[in-house]
Order: sequence, then structure tokens, then C-alpha cells
Amino acid sequence: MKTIQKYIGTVALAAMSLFACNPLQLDEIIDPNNPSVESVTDNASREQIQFLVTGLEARHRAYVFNVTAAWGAFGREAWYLNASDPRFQTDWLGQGGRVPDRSYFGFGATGGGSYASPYQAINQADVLISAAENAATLSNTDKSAISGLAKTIKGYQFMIPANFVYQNGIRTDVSDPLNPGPFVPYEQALDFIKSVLDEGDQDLSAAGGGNFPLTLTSGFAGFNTNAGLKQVNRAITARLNAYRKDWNGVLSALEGSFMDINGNLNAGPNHPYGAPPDVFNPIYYVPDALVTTMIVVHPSVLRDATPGDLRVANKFFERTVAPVTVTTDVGPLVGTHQDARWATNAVAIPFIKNEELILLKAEAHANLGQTAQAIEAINIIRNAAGIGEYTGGTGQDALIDEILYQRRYSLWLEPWGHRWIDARRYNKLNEIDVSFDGGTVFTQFPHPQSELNWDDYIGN
Amino acid sequence: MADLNPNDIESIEVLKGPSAAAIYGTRANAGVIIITTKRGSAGKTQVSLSQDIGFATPLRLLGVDDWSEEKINFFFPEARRPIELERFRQARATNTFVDYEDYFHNNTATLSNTRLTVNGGNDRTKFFISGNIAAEDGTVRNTGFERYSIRANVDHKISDFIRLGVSSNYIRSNTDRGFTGNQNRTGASIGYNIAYVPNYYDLRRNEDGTYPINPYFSENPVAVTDNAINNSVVNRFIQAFTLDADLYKSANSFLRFQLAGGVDFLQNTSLVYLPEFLQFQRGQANPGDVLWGKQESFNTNLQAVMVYNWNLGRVNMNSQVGVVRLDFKNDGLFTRGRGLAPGQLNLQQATVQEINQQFFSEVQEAGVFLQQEANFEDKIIGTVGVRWDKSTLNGDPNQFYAFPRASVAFNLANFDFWGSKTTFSALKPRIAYGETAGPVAFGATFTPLGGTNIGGLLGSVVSTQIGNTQILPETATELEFGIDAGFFNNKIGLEATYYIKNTQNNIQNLNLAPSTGVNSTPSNEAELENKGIELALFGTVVDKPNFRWNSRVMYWQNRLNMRRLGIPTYVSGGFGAALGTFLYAEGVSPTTIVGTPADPGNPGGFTIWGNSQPKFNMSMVNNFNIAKNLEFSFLMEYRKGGDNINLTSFLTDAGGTTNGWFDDDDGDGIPNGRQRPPAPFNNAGRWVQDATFLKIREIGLYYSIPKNTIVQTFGNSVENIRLGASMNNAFLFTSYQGYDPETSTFGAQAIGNNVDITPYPTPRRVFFHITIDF
Repeated sequence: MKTIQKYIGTVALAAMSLFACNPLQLDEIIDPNNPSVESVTDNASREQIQFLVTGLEARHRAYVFNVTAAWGAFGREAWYLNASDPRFQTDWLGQGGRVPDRSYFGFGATGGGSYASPYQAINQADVLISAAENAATLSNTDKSAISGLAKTIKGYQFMIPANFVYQNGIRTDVSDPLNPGPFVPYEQALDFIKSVLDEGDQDLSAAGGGNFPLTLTSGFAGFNTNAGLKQVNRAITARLNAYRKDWNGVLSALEGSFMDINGNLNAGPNHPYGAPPDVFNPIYYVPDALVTTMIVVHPSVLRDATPGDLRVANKFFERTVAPVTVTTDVGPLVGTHQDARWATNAVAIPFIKNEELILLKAEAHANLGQTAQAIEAINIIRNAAGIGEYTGGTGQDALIDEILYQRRYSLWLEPWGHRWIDARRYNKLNEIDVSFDGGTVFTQFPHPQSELNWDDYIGN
Repeated sequence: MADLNPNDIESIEVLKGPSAAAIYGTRANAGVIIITTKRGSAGKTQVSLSQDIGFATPLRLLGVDDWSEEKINFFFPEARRPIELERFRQARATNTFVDYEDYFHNNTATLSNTRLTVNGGNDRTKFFISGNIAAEDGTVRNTGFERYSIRANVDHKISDFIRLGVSSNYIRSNTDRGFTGNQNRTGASIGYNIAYVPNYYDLRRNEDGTYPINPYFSENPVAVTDNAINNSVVNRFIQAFTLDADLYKSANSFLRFQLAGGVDFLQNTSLVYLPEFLQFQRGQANPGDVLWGKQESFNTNLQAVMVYNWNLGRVNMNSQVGVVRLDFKNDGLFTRGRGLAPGQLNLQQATVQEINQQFFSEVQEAGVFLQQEANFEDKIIGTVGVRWDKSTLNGDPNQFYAFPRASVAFNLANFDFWGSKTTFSALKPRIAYGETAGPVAFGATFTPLGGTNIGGLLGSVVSTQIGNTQILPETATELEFGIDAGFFNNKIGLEATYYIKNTQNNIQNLNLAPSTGVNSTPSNEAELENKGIELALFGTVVDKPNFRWNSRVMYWQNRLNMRRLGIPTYVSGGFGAALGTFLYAEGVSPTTIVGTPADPGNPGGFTIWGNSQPKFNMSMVNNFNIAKNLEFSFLMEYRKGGDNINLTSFLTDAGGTTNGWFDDDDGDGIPNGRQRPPAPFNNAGRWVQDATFLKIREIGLYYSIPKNTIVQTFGNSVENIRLGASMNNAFLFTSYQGYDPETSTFGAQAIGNNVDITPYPTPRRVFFHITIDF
């Protein structure tokens, strides 16, 4: 009996020591990998705001690959050949009568890089604006400058989903994740974007002169003052106003932009890329690489080129090895030329440049019947390309055709899908050549399935 | 589980579903598997040595399509035809056609498994020590694995009242995985290459050591299998202890304290290496790619239980109260180097050095349980219990969730009224109810700001997932009815079970409108229902002194139904709607396969093409004992119905290499490979295929050498010798057009798994066994 008591005592001691470090007591586990969004909503430090600004630049470039490769294929500027997944060919080119559905390949139920990504940049901009607003360490001019930058990028990003779903319209009131506003028609959405850009312009004016108060990447080199960002804002507004067919608005926006008739056509802000921890230029491919995944120049772009066009010589590289060939159940696609614009995989990708602004000037003048000024702008582009002055017709249709043609080569495969949008703006989608792939040209995409699901969920 | 030496296992108990596993609480939704390892036994020390030697060959190959000039002219664009025809004619002239499926997948692999166990002790201390070396090649070129395991299980009586048990197991495995399956832009997948390379083009190594360029895909797979590495090394240490103390003991009752705990430390190093001279790498800006992964997980558990066994009249009562504590820590670091110095795998020999991912997680859980068992003379056996659990994974980490259970079974044959047991020996109706939970995923409550770098600056980006700080664990309730019966002195038995399992608070992501910049938030809205039947008939068919035949036939079927979704209908899994995906909608099973073309009339908006859930499964095990020394057994399984999404066919059709591609069944001039039914030959239904099969899974034949022969040959130094031969995945009968209807591109996930995308063929394994006991 004595030993039993001894053991009971031992066990009781063991039990007590066990409960001394109470096994039912759990520690608070905070996210060991990331800071929380809540940490910046109230009185964020200047450093935290800086991280959000840089985060906005990162979100700002998230659309690049998807829009370049897919919209570039829709407008037959290029093919994105990918033997690992035939749907990059069959589905993106509308082969076999395929039409975009709400969860289309490459876009998924959220619209992916053409829809969800730009909206994520918009959300980032909204979080940044409100975090800056609530940050006591920032002066009022700091806050205005940050708001101006955020709204400028918002305006740019809103145009991506707007052009993706086009006449289906987009949501513009998206600040509350659990209570998004209704879809508004394309034209109304563009007017809304105009107001966002104008507010950004006013904010940047209110921010006064001097440098942008926080650090921007080299993507904004030459534009990292409040005045420089205003020029970027106005350039984006000029592009938007062309979509709005507000031709006087194009010209007035261009006046405030960085357009320089005599300047470097490539001047403009860009998306920087680089080695890890950054990401490499996503549309760079090694010349003559013997791979079956590559963006190649569309044969119609090569066929329609003007002899001696320097843009063709500078932007396209003819493979010295076998062409890239991918065969799908519809047939083979053959790519003979690669994109030669990127010397390395660390080269930045411009998102709006002087050359486009001069072409917008030409387009606005042409639409306003200001023929001489239109031709003057066209000739700047033509002479830079080494193809001589314009000698064609001076009627409005002829000038528009000429401008659209120059845009095909000047803005070839910019991360925007210019050719697809331009052809649609002028009801010329049927001029896009599908004879090389037997596909079709899409007009627009339906709303992604997740949007529809959300409306179902809340009972709309 | 894969890490365990199978020979160390004494028993495996499977607690299927909440009604059986409720006492395991939060992590028991999928059931609980209790593996008991062997312990030592007192007496003469026994040494046993076993050696298995075997080989493996592919269970099934599909063949690749031959080419003809006519087919080349049909398949290739005009500009390409001359070169293809020239290659074809050259191959014909030199007869150098290469069947790449045969070349890569049809290799005979050698298999070896060596085991040594030492077992003994006295009445105070017993031990079981085992060592195991398993080495298996793969049937796919240059793949295989090795596993080393050592175990010591020691039991010691500290006194008559206190017993200590310790189990130590160290395992090291080294696996060369090869390059099969879905290919992620490395060009390296063997299956993709088999799909795209015609048999008249020779990719094999040149005499000078270089490799031909593959003009049909991005990589030369021969060079990859010769030179690239996809390896994983796991070091695992599992240490467990139990301490039992008898606090009180009388003639008809006892009180016992049990303390048990364990540590499981796992370290995994993974390596993918693609040397700089490979075709795909030469096409990259920085040729040569190495990915190193280091993962560690450290899990501990501690359980303290008081057991009181007593009698209440004629009822034996067993009462338990306990406390459980679980801790899980994970730590992963994945790094990558590109632009490698020739032959170098060290990250510091890379031009571009990158941290791919670093991830930490920590989870703490605690629970308390009470259980009462009552046994009335083995006539009525009942159990009630409840467990309360809390977890840091839940929205409220301090909230205890209760998981009750209750069960009762009646052994009618043990009652006095039963009479003779000779014919109808046992009848046991039973009913059980239980609740369990499935854990919330780590991080479901967080709304993080992710780190991202651009232009030399660090950015914080708002996550696309909103954390749910109210998230609840999923709870499953199960009601199970069954009846067990025995006939002819229990020589024949029957078990029948019907269950209804409902999962509430089913955790699924509520997809938000992507226009708000966030994609999802975890939700507890859905309810999933499983209903199923399990039948087993087993018994001794023949029982003669020189011949004994035992057989067990099982039948089971399960039906899933999304009773409530609560969130918008969505599709998920596979590779999107154009290739077949799975539908999550109310009133529909989430095993439903849907895909293009769009059909606005259906929930989710797509056409319904199939269902991955089998109509039913059956299995049969037979054991024959012949003349005492010879044992023969086989196990077969039949699955009726259940569809797979066969994307391997999709790829081989695109490459023109599917066996029979150029045949033209409907005679319309368009070959089969370009028009798979149903018309109009462009929808997801083309790849949905019935996966009904009959498989002979195991065949075994064992012979114990008679004692007399052993004594005559070896004297008394050898106790026992057993010889055997066995076959695993012996035969497959199916009309499914893939290597194996039981395919799984995405590993062992419950739903959305039946997608076939260039897997490697299942190996048929043949073994010869010898075991010698000393």
C-alpha cells in the first residue's frame, strides 16, 4: 500500500507539472509570413506608405503578359504559340468556331490578367489612397501627390476591363468588396474613368511643384515629379479621350502631356523588369531558341509591311533556324519572326510613349477635318520609320486608314492590344486577317463567371 | 504512411467516418487510421531475415501511331512536308523507327527489399528491433527509390504497477522521380514528348555525346532522362512513448493513468536540376536551372488519460477522461538558380539566384474528452463520449467545439433465448452516431499584405483573399446502421452497413466579384452529403485438413450530394471548362464533370459530360492453404462506372501519335484523331471516358519448408524457412484509353482528381520472397 501511495504521489506530481504548462493554453498565432492589411489602415508610417506605393507599381504591371499575348492574338499582331497547351492556339484564335465563354481558357472564371489583375491594381490604389489619408506623418501635399498617382494608375487600369468586355460594361463602383456597384455601359464607364483621371490631375496640381514625395521605380524616370506625373496622367487621358471620340479632348489632354513632336518617339513611362527578386520581362524570348513556346510575329504583319520600314527591321527578327511550329487539331501555325524589341530579359516595357501621342494627335486632327495638321503628324511617324512622306488620299477615311496602318507598326504588340481595340473602334474587325489560322476575331468577352455568380449570390 | 516499413506493422485499424472516429475530434473527418507497430515478446531471442527480389514492367502500354507519306501530307503544313517526308524516308531506309513509349516507359526495373528483425526480452524488458533496406528502380527510364529504416520498440516494467514503452523509428528515403506528368513550361515531360514526336525521328544520343534537336517540342527527352535530376530525400524521425501506471487495482476494478506522447520530425530536401546544355535551357536567357527545396516539419503530441474500469452489477463499465495537446510547425524554403556553371548544382554557381518561396506555419490544438463504455456480458455493448477541441486555425482560437458520439450493438446470439449457435451463430445489429471536424486551412483568418519586388524596391500588395476571422471548423455528422451475422459456427459471416454522413460548415471559398480586386474569402456555407452502403460476405468455403479456402467479397458504393452550397455555383479542378472540369452546385454531386459547349440551362453554365464517382466497387480476396505448407491468395477489384478526364488522349491527338490516329471510322476523309466524338468534335465531352475496370491487384504464393527438411539440412540453427512469389497490379481489364483508370494527376485529393495527363504507366511488380527465422 505504501508503494501505491508513492506512485499516486509521483503521478500527481507529474500531472501537476503537466498542467503547470497548461496543455489547454494556446498561444496567439499571428501570420508569420506577412504583415496584415489592417496594419496600414490606421496611421501607417511613411515606410509602410512607401511599400504600398511600390506595391501599386507591381500591381500596375500584372496585366502585361496576358493582355500582350492574348489581345495581341485577337488582333493578329502576333501568335502566342504554345505546344504544351493547344488551347493557346485553338481558343485564343477562335478556331473551330470557338467563342469566348465566361470561364474562357487563359482567363478563367475571374477574367485573369485581362480583368481581375487590373481590378487588383485598382483595389491597391484605393487602399493606398485611404492609408495615406489616415497617415498622420504625411503632409497634405504628400497626400495629394499620392492620391494623384493612385488615380492616374486607376484610370489606366480601368480601361483594361472596359475594353475587354466592351459593350457588356464594367463595374465602376468597386471600393466595397462585399457591395460592388452595378455594371455601367461602356461609354458611361469611359466617362467615369475620365473623372478619375481628371481628379488625379487636380490632385497632382494640388501637390505643388517638386519631386513626388516617395520613391518611384526607374519606370517613372523623368516623370517622378508631381509635374511629370501630371504629364503621364494627361497622356493616358488623351488615349482615353480617343476611345471616347472626344477629339478636342484628345488635343487638350495632349497639350498637358509629355508629347514632343520633335522628341524621342520612345519617351514615356514604363514597367521595369529585372532579375529576382524582381521578375524578368515576361515577353522576352531568346533569339532562335529551339522551343515551342513563344510569341511570334503574325504573318499578316509581315506581309502588309512597307518595304524599308525601319520599324519592321527593328522590331522583328527573322529566325535563322527552323521556324516555331505548333500543330493543333485544327492544323499547324508557323512562326518565322520573333519580337526583337528586347535586348535582354531585363528591359523595361513602355506602357505609353511619345509615338502614340503623336499618332493620337494625327487621329484627332483627322477626325476634326484638320487634314494638314493630321498629315503633318503622320509624316513625323513616317519619316522616323524611313518610309517617306504621306502621298495618299486626303479624305477622312483615307487618313484614318493610314493612321490605323501606322499604329499597327508603331504600336505593334505594346501591352495593350492596340490593333484589336483600334479595329473595333472603327468597325474594322473584319479587316483582321484570320486566313493563316482559320480562326475568328472576337468582338468582346462576356462578364467573367465570378461576376455573374456574385450577382446570383446576393440575389440580383 | 509511405515512410513506414510494412514489416514493422502489427495491425492497421481503420476508423472510417465520424461515427467511429469521433473521439479523435478536429482532425477526424476523413476517418482515422491507427497503425500499431510490432512489440517484443519475452523468451528466446528470435532473428528473422527476409529478402525479396523482383522486377517490374508496365502493366499496360497504349502503343503509338505509325506514320505514312499520306499521313505526313495530311498532318503537316505544305512548307513543312518536304523535310518531314525526307525524315520519314530516311527512317524507312535505315529502319530506325523509334517507339518512344517503349523507349521511355517499357523498362524492366529491378526491385529488392531486405529486412532483418530481432525480437526478444524477459518478463521485465522486451524489445523489437528491425532494419529495412528497400531499393526499387522505376519502369520509367532512370527513376527509382531507396528507403532505409531502423526501428527499436522497447517495453520495460519499471515496477509491477508502472510500464514504460518507447518506440523509435528513423527513416531515410531517396527518390528519383523523373519527368512525367503535367509539364510546366520546362519542355521536360516525357509524356508530352511521346505525344508530339513522330516515330520516324530519332532523338537518341549521337555518337559524339550530343543530342539531336527535337523539332517537334521544346526539349529532347532522352537528354533529360540521361542528365536531369528530379530527386527528393526525406529524413524522418518518429519517437513515441507511453507510460502506464496502475493507480489502483482490485478484483473487479482498476484505475489506470496513461501518458503518451510523441515527436515526428520530418526533413525533406528536393532537387530539380536541368543542365545548361539541354535544348530548352539553351533557349532560355539563363541556361541551366536548379531548384532546391528544404522543408521541415516538427509535430508533437501529448495525451494524458485516466481509465477507470469497474462493474455496475453485471455491466462492465470503462470510463475514460483525457486531455490532448497537438502542435504542428512547418518551415519551407524553396530556392532557384538559373544560368548555371556547367555541371554545378550549388546556387552560388548560378547567374540568377532567387528565393522562390519561404513559408512558415504554426498550429496549436488542444482537446478534452470523456468516454463511457458499458458492456453487459457481451450482449449489449454501448459507448457514449464527447470531445471538446479548440485550434488556432479557427476564427476564434479559444472556442471549444464539442464532438459527441454514441453507439450501441446487440450480440443477439449471446442472449439466453438464442438457442443453438451451430447454424445461425451470431447476429449483431448496431447503430452508431458521431461528429468530427475537418480543420480550417492555415491562414484562412489572415488578410495579408504580400511582399513583391519591382525595380529594386520592396512593395506590399493587398492580398486577393480576404481572411475570415469567423471561420468555423467543418463538422461532419454520421449516422451508421449495420448488422453483422455469422453462420455455421461463424465460418461464414455477413456485414452490412448503411451510412449517412453530412458535412456542415463545409469550408469552401466564397468567390467575390473580381471587379472588387479581391477574389475570395473562406466560407462555411456549404453542406455536403454522403450516403453509402458497404456489404461484406466472408467465410471459409472449404475447411479440410489439407485444404482450406477463405474468401471475402465486398461491395461498396457512395453517393455525394451538395445539399447546400450557400455560395455561388462554380466550376473547379482539371484544366478549365474547355477540357472538362468539376461542378459545384446545389443538389449536384461535386464529382460531376462539366465542360464546353456552354449550356445556360445548366447550373454553372456548361454541358454535363460525366461523373467521376463510380456506380459501385467490388472486391474479392481469396486465401488457399494447401497441405499446411502452401499458401495461395489473390485480391481483385471491380469498379463499375466513374469517368475520367483523359487529357493524355487530347495531347496525343494533337501530336498525331494516338494509336489509330489516322484510321477513319466514319469514312468521311477526316481521320479519327481529328474528330473524336461527340460531334461537332470540339467540346470537352471528347475527353470524358468511362473508367470501369477489373484489376487483379495481388497474387501471392508462399511455401513453408517442412520442419524435417530444415533440421536435416541446417540442423537446429534455423527455425523456419518460407519461400514465396507474389505479383502486384497483376492484370488490368478495361476499355479505358489510358495507362490506368485509377489515374491521379493531382495526388491524393478527394475531389477533382480523375484527370489523366501523361502519367507514367502503373508498374506490374513481380516478387520472389525468402524469409529465414533463426
